[in-house]
Amino acid sequence: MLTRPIKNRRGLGRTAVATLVAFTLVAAACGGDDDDAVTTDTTAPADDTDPPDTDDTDPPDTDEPEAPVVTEPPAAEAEVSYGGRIVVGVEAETANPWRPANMNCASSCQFIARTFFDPLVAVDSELDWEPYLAESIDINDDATVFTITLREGIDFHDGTPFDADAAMQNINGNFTSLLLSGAVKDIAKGPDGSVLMEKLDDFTFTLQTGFNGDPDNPIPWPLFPYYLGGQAGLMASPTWLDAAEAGEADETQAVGTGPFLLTNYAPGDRTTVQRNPDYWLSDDDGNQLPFLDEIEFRVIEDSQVRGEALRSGDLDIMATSDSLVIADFADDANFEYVNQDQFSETNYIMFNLTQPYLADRDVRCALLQAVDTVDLIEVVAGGASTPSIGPFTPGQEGFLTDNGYLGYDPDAAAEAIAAWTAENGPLTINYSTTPTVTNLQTAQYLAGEWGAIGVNVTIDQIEQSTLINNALFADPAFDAFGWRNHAGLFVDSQYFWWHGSSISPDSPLSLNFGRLDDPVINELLELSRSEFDEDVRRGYAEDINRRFASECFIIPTSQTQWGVFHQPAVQNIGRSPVPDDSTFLRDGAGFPGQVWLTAAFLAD
Amino acid sequence: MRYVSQRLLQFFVVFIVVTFIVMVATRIGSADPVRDLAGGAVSDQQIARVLNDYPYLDQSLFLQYPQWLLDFVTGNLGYSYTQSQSGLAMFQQRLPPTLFMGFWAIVIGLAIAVPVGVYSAYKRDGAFDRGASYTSFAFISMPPLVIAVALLFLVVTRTSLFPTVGGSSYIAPWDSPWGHFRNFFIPSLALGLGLAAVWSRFLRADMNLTLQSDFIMLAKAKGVSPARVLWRHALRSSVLSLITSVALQVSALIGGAVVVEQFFGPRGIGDRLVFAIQQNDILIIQAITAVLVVGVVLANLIVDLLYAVVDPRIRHARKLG
Amino acid sequence: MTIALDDTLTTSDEPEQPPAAAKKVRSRRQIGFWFGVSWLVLLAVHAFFAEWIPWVRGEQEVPRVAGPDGELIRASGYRFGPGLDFWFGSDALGKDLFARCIYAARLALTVSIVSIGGALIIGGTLGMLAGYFKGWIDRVISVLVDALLAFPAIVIAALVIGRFDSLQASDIEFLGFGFDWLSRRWSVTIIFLFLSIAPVARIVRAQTLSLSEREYVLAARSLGARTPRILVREILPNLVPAMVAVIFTGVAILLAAEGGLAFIGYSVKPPEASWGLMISENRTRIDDAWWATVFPALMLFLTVLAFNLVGDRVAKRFDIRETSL
Repeated sequence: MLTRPIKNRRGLGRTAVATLVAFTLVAAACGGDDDDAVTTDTTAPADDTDPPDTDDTDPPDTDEPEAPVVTEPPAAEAEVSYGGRIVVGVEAETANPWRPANMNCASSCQFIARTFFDPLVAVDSELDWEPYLAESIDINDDATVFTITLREGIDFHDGTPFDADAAMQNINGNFTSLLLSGAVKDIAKGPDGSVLMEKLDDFTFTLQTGFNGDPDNPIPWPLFPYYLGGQAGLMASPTWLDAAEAGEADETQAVGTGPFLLTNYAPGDRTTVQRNPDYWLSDDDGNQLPFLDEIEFRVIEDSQVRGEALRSGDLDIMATSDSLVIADFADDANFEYVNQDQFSETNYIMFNLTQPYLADRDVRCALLQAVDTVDLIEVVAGGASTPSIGPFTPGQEGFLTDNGYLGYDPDAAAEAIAAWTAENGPLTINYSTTPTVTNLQTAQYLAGEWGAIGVNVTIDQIEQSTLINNALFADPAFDAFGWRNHAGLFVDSQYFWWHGSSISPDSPLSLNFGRLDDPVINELLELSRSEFDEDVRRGYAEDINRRFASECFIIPTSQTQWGVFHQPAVQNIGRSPVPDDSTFLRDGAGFPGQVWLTAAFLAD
Repeated sequence: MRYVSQRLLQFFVVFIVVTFIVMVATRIGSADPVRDLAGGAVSDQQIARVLNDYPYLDQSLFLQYPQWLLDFVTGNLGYSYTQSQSGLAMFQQRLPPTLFMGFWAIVIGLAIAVPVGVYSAYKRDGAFDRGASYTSFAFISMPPLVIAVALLFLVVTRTSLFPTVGGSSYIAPWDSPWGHFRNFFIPSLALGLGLAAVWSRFLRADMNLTLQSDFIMLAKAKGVSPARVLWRHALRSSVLSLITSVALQVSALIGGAVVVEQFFGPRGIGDRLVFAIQQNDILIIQAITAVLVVGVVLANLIVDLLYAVVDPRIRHARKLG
Repeated sequence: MTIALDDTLTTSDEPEQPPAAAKKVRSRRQIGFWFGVSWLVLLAVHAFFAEWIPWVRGEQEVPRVAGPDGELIRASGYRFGPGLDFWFGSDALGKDLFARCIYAARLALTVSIVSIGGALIIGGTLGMLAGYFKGWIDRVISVLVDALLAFPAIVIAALVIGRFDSLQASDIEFLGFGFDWLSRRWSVTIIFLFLSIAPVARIVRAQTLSLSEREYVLAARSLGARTPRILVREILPNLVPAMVAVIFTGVAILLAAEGGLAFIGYSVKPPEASWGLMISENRTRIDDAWWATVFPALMLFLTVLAFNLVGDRVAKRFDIRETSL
């Protein structure tokens, strides 16, 4: 009776949310001026002479990708005050919490985890990476060796000192974990599989690059520090990590260095954090951070419900990527609004390319041509979002308004499917989605359109954390699934999502959910990773975009817009300070749908 | 005493049968329980970890059962590998909301049913009785889902007093009595109205019988005031059967709670169960279902034992039936 | 739900009435009965002949109707409230809620009736055996029935249906047969059948117990009639009224259970229509489009009510009292 592992098709259940699946696992953040990544601490190679002021604002031969908007966050209207408790509504629970190496960290997870973990690096309002827990990161001329110096005098919540040993243990754990190793595969590893690091003193160590981990084959990776601003750069107490590994500590009772301490975690319901009185950071006026006493994060899957809860005062902050809700709240003077519509994700339908019928370009393109995205948005989102033709959103490297996208052509689609089924028999596509109202409507719409061209469609509703897990392991029940991904400005942020090397025969898990292994895209990604010149890199990114369009690897549907809405009493959103710098942390940088709460306070 | 021991024995047999059925049910379609538990498609390390924690999982069900039972009675209520949480901690978080909701539902049910039932019996076939009879019949035909929709449409959307659909969350009464009321009133009402309908009909019928019995006639003849007859004598003799009925509703109450928790919140054990089913988290599914079912069986046992202690005649009658 | 079945039957008992009042009550009950019957007939005709009834649109049809400017538009985004074009209004995708409600009725009625039918066969047999033979057969069956009665229906149904999904997706074979056929529709029917066995068995057992003490049964037995003959010829016909009452009350309960189950997502999957599913899909939009939530709930309520009214009347008519509790 036992033949092989069961396919995990789950039932539906949680009634409602309104976004496609979020996934910002290791997002290397966005940034406006990549040269800074190299020139902050060192000099760029001589031939990389692209003047900084031309980047993004005046790109050659592209159809006007919008320049990243750098916004100065509004100053708080009230005097800062300590104390108070706020409730934040987020869209999903996190699976495998809360060890940074293991957690499946989507948007709402980033929101929560950053209150008790700090990253080594964070992105500032100018969209540059800034050392955060690190004091500095020196990059050599080739961008192959990174020397990381840590801030001194910081302790984890349990009293364990944060030093080079702690950081190296974290980096080794994160960079070699099943989940994250693919994202940072070009960091050199030793023969025993651990990350090659050299400790220079108690607070300094080095990392180096190596193609696919090979220390003898270092490659330039100018944008690597952005990766330390993601999940791979979150620092947890080694004491706790060891104890959790040994089964002696609760792996959900996270111990970090963050502004808040995790005090209660009720999966599927809420996470509560309380003020860390000994936090290492003060704001520019010298006020000890953070201000709030307690934050409760509540999982409310349905964005309509989240909106209503904000309106009724049950929530103080609510993040959503549901365009209908955003439209609803954007004009509401009773609430303040952080708009995150740049470098955000693309909503798309992903194909599991390991299915033989989906490996066939004709089938994929037929499925794409069967869908009128403008109409889909009209029906599902009341026309409130912008249709998308490729995997990039405005502001992102590689964004194009004309990429050769095939577009809506149901007759051609029906023809192609007829030809295919004549040869191969009936075609059935299993569409998987989270059981939220908008997503189910999308699913039903697709079932209708695909049905019209002669494809049988079944719909599977799967809870979000399970859906992510199934995608990670390319569950054989998966054919097509609704997805929301690929935030970030650099195409390098997408490397591990799309590169064939992410699919390892040794590991069943891959961040390349669609199992995309296209030689053209692989090569373009490799070139772009080591490219210093921004315009050249943009060219690679645009080629990738065109390749996506001609091969129909995905069906792009719409651009994601995030709105973080909050009660006016919550102040200082967007004004969490960058240490030793007058700028602020950039909310949603690489992690749309999230804001920093380090400096937030409640006005009376 | 013989009855008590017999009843206890029966309880244990039923306990074994139901928990075994639950175990079988959670393993349907699971070719590889270890893998399912580890979170479906996962790494070999994860599987090794699960096997290390629960070495019996790949044995046959009959071998698994006694080991699971031993775990269960010693307080090892499973582990959620996807959410990294022990079953015990999960119950601590998720039981209180459901217990409060059930408690308030019963309070609401009784608070409506007792006056209505008694007054209906008192003014039998009067306008009130007839009205109450129709209303309660209608409410009996209203599943919690329908009542929830009605409350949402008629109350929640028309006042700004209560959290909207799905918005209720757990606030302990000792933390904030008002917050507790706001979050629990509507869900409890959704469950309590149905209970009130069942109980008021039950109480009316039961009291009608009592009111015709000899001792009531005697009391009436002796000139005891009608109100006194009603409250002191008739109601008192109906209390026991009412308690039985309360116990019998526990199962229906749990089913209703699952729906209402999904509809309004607060997120109690029913919501956690649905979440676990979605995640294929079979040890947690098994633990929750087992606890709920054992709760029902226990409630019935307690009622039966109460009977045996309080009223030997009824006990005898029940046995005959 | 299982418990509720007994309650509905119990509470429908009323002590004998004075003649005048009884007459009035009877006539009132007639109204309820006839309301129930007409609703059920009307609903059943619509549900089972929906394809041939011109005013019922298709379950998945997205109709295009004349908009304000006369051009053909879709009714998506809850564009139409209840009216002439859309009796129950339109839903988010522009489908006709009236048609969806009718198709949902088909699903709910089919699932409930098939389950109760199956449960009558299995539970009835068990109950008859237990009630007639008594002794150890009775005891074993009673323990099983007690155990089954302890399960909160929705909990166990959601659990098993979740597992059936896995079973269907798996390669597991039983006696050489796979489980590809195990759609949600089948899953729900199977688990409802299973859950209905215990209450049915319990009622039939009690009836059989009392019937087997009747003179004609004793007479038949003393005349040397064999047991199967007594069971089939003497007892079974006399069980029919009770079974009819059980069918109606039982279907009412299963309808309610299907609603709840669909609401938490464990009845049919979208795009198929089910009342509970429609409530769950639309309830967050109740401020904008009350009809999309209220009408399915109303349909569920009226149908359950109709079955209860008819069941109540049948139970009264044949004086079925479930006093064994």
